[in-house]
Amino acid sequence: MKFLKKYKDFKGNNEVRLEIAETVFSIASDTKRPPKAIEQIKENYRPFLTEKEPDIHILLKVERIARDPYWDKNIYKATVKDNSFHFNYDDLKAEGDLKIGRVAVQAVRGFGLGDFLRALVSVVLIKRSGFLVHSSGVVDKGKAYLFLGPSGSGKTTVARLSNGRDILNDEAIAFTRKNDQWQAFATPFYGDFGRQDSNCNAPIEAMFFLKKGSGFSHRKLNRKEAIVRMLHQIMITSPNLKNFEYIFGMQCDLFASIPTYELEFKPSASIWRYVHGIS
Amino acid sequence: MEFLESSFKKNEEVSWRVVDDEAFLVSPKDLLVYPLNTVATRIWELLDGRKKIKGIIDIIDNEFEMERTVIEEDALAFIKDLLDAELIEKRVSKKG
Repeated sequence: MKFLKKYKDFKGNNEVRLEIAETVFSIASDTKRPPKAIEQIKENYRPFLTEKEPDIHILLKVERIARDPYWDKNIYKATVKDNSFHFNYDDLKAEGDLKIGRVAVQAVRGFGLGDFLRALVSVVLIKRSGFLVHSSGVVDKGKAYLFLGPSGSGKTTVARLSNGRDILNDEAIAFTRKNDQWQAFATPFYGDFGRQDSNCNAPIEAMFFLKKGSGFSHRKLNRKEAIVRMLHQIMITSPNLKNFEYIFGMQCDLFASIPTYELEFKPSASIWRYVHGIS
Repeated sequence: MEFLESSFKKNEEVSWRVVDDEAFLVSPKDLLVYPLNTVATRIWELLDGRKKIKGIIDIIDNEFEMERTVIEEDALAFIKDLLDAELIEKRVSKKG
């Protein structure tokens, strides 16, 4: 952890704070002027900006050009062990210790900071009784309805049909278990929908694995079917046996209380009438 | 048949969990997930390194309403699959 040690007490400038699933991240740079990456985060992650005290401090060391010894070009590597982690992407290297809440990131002009944040959130969630899921979600009457499936299955389409309801996200949603209840949290890691209007959360009411069709039909999934389908949708930065055991345990708990369906749907606003009818 | 007289034990590094009477196995080699049906789950539970395959087939024959020939065929194929995936290992008896 040489890299982290070198920068762990560095305060940084141009601080921006984000709250994602009840964790506050502070991002600051070693530059006098705000780097483009931080400007973009301020602009694109606007609903997630906060003034709350940070849980995790991220120092962004901005490099103008890639150079050794910090770079390992064309390598994608992530290792997570207990509370410490190392990420190595094409243009970004990061080291962190979640116990002390410090992360040092070195990136050429700050490139890849958004992708890194998503990976970091997936690691933090696993430490905090949750996980990050490839899913879209909408809040209706204070309850979260989540829609899962591979690319092209209709996640963004359902977000577009929200018709004034709060959208949690069309691509990545944080699941957490708190006080025996499963909650879904908005994240700023949106997909084709292209925006995120609010940082909302709600207790999970039902989950749907999507399939586009010419009408509406559904089938309730048993726990085993739901676990198998969802395994492919959980974002795990560093897959290992320990993480899988954890994910299994959490999924068993999730599907014991949350009804889950396969939903064939046609892209029309009547999807909400149908979803309410099922759940 | 020699295979029927053999004993196999679970690879201790395999992570597994039973959900509603059906097991999921996670291979430590490649992190592939293997969902098992009820009969396969029972066979998996019985692979303790002591029972011979023949004895396991007898137990399955008693517990499930299936034809003996089908049980034998399916059990042998399943155990070979587990071996290929390195989820179980053959127990070598200590002699002498």
